[in-house]
Amino acid sequence: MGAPRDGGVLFEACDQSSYKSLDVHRSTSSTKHPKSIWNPEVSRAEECHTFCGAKLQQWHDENGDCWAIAKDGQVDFGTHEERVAFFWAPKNSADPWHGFPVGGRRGLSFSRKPPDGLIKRWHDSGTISFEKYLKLLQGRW
Amino acid sequence: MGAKLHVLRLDLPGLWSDGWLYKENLVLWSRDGLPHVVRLADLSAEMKELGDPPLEAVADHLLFHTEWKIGQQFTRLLLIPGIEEKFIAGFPESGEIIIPMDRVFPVPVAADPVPGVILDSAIYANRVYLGTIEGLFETRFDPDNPTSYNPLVSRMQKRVSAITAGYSAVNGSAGEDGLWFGRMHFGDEPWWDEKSSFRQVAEFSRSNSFADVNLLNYTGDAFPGFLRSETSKEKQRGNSERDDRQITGYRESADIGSLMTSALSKKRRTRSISRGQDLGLVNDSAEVLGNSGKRLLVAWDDSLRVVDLSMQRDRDLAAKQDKTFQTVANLEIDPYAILDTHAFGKGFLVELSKEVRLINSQGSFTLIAEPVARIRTFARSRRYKEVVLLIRETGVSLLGMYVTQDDL
Repeated sequence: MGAPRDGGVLFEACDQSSYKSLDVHRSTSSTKHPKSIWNPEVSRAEECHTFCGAKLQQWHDENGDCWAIAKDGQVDFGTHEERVAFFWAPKNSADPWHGFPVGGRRGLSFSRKPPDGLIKRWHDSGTISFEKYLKLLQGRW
Repeated sequence: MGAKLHVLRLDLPGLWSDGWLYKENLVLWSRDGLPHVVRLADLSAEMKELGDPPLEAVADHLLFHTEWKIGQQFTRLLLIPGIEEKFIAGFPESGEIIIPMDRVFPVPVAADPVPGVILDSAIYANRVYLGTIEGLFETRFDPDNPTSYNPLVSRMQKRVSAITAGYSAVNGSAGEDGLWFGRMHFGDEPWWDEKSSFRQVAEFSRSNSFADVNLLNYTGDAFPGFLRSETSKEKQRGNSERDDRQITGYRESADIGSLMTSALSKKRRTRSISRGQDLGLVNDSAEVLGNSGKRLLVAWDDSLRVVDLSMQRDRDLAAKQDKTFQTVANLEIDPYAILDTHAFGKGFLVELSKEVRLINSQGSFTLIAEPVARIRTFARSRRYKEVVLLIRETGVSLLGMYVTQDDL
């Protein structure tokens, strides 16, 4: 882990990639614009581990972005019970990845849904229960 | 001591995806999309095996004939001192009776499996509509011969996440592909040969819900779009399962934002808008979470409110806060923790991440303290208006309930 710089903490991540835990997704005071915020109980290092877990399991969408969920969604990644994390793929391969928690229900500042195919993979691999599977498909999470 | 909820729950094991109560049948879809059926008479017979006639009577009122529970006769009977105490005497202190239905086996229906995961379904006038990640499908269900074969016909090849059916119309929410409306046909020609008549009535739709004969289109914005229906009337013969009023189309979606915020800002004052007026104002602090018919559950300044829409035919739309739900603002429920809402009786079921709660004019009650895969209520049903069907991880539950007041 490196020293804080350029609005975040840079990690050497997995699979020859780097990851930056951005300050703007760590505190509401770090930005004027509404952002989803990582749960303080998820450390910056765990944030990076979450990214690596997703990347190594190839939980990609068609854009190459990554999505993560804990075993049966038991970890609240965000401060508003967001159970899924989304990681932007960098435009330049030398740039670091970054990510933030996302939810599907109304009222969240950043609402987006993983693709159906990836949700099915999570279910078929036993990562999530049928209950979570249906909720993710329907945006009730 | 406050009002207390009494719940009678029947648990059937199995890996189910969806279910419906329809004309004395429990229809269940397996997780590979195959329909099964349980006759409610079989559940009733299983109850009889318990040898507890008072419990059978309670089950009749709370599960198999909820129109009895909310009917005038029962309400009048409860005026006799001691009747209500006797009615709930079999409930333990926890207020919950759970009866396993392990010897009732759902019978497979001779049918083709529906492609894709079922996101929503609706049964109306023996027509079955299934919205899945692969499209909108239609089949039939014959309540008198429930296991008989009916073909499955694809009506739309779009991901349909929410379906409503009523007034001889079916509405399907297809996200960025829009809100689609189709009329049901009741001619003599083979139904599977009918040409699909769906047409788009809104550009975006996450879900939709009837508010009386009109439609609310939920888009993810703070307020649902209001689609006033155009209807025709056709007197049905005998004991028809169809409504006399038939929806023939919808007018352009109207924004109810300013109407709602005015009603919320100015207590007990009815605000109305003229038809066709632009209602564009949006207040970020209010958001409609769901509706139970014309009754809307709203997040307002981080608490809940209930606002009633009033929409007589050919009159202006109006909104006012519901006086019978004044205490809802004091409930300790974070409006933004609510995952979903469902119409239930005169109130709502709200789904939270770890429980399902009932909210009505008597208060707020935990219905089940666990996350569930799917909640189904039957607000437009006569018999099952106050029954909840829960699809759980390893089974399906039917819940009936009764709320007693303070002093029982």
